[in-house]
Amino acid sequence: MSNEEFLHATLSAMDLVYNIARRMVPRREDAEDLVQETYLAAFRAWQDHRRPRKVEPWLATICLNLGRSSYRHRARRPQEVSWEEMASFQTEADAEAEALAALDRSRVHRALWEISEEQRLAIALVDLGGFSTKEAARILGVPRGTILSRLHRGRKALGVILTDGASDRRRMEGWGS
Amino acid sequence: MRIPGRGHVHDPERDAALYVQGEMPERSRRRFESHLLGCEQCWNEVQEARAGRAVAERGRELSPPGLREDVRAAVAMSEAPGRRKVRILVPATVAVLAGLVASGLLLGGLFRGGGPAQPRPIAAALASFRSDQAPGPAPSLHAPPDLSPAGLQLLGSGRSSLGGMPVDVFWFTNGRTKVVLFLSAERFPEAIGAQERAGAVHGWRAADDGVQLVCADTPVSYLLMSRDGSLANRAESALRQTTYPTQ
Repeated sequence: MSNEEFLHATLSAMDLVYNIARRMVPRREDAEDLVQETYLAAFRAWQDHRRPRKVEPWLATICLNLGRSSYRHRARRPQEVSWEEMASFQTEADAEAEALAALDRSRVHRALWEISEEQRLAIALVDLGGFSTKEAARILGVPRGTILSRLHRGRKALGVILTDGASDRRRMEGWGS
Repeated sequence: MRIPGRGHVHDPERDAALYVQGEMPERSRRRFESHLLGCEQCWNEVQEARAGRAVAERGRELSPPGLREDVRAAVAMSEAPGRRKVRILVPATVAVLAGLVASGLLLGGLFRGGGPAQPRPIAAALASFRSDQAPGPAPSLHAPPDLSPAGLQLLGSGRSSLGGMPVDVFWFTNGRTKVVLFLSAERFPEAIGAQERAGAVHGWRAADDGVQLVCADTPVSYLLMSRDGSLANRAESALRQTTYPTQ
């Protein structure tokens, strides 16, 4: 059987899977490996005629399960930041613009590793993956109320972490009072 | 505590999450909005949830260029008998190679060999492009140009030096192919085999082992690199529509 049918059905969800993988393992290269593992596991299921009605929640579930089992030991806070992540810090002309620029992907990525795994995964599925809270609850196997609570607390924590981080950075660069 | 007329327990966290998520039924939403005007706690929860959500959404990333092809290859190879797992990526090897490139060891070794060598800035730019590792983490002087008319999104940027030539580096992708843009106050040296450009744009084009190079001197000196020549051209068109102050 050709693998093209599988790839045609699933490759459009790669950004979604990648964003979840990035919240399962902090290092970019581990996340890329996890994406590959996810697609291989999905392909094996596909070959066994286990085909989902919707590929997105199916791939998300596989990615989460693999991430929890195989990659658990790697799920620590990021120890290093790649050039790409570092380079996305921008110098801006004024403090306001700088504060906005501080809210870039790498800072958000690191801040996501400051909050609990439950909150991080709720955010990964809903805010980054575009799932509804019902779908996220089904994927994670928890009640919807639990997802709502994790999502809300995670969002608040993220805001606090990044606001404090931006203030610290302004102070260090002499832009604060 | 109950919200008058709502018939359920006052739960600011849950209500704020549902409201901000846009998952509250229409009737409940209208009631909650009325309630918000008089409940500071719910109001604050909604404001914090909105701010946090906006922050979280800024963390969304595109999958790296090349990963799609890696997955394609891994899936294709997994069909071969006896192959259940394929590991295309070898991070440790990539990291070592990138380190060698960054330190100039590999670069020196490569270009001491036979055949004409690229000028140092061009060689360094090519090494950076191929290794996926741009040199130096300092922030860029220029704001990133908007290349969205070419379907390109910014991946990262920084300030660097290519063989002693200070440059700003911007990495873009259209989700499949990478485009790297170098901006400099100095003129880029011509690559080997460069073809002078005709028409109003003063600059040159060249190719190096599958990498297309597009260079010009106005409005600032820039060098674009991509494996897709057509994409590089579209990126250049978008770049030239950007208003840039000269350095």
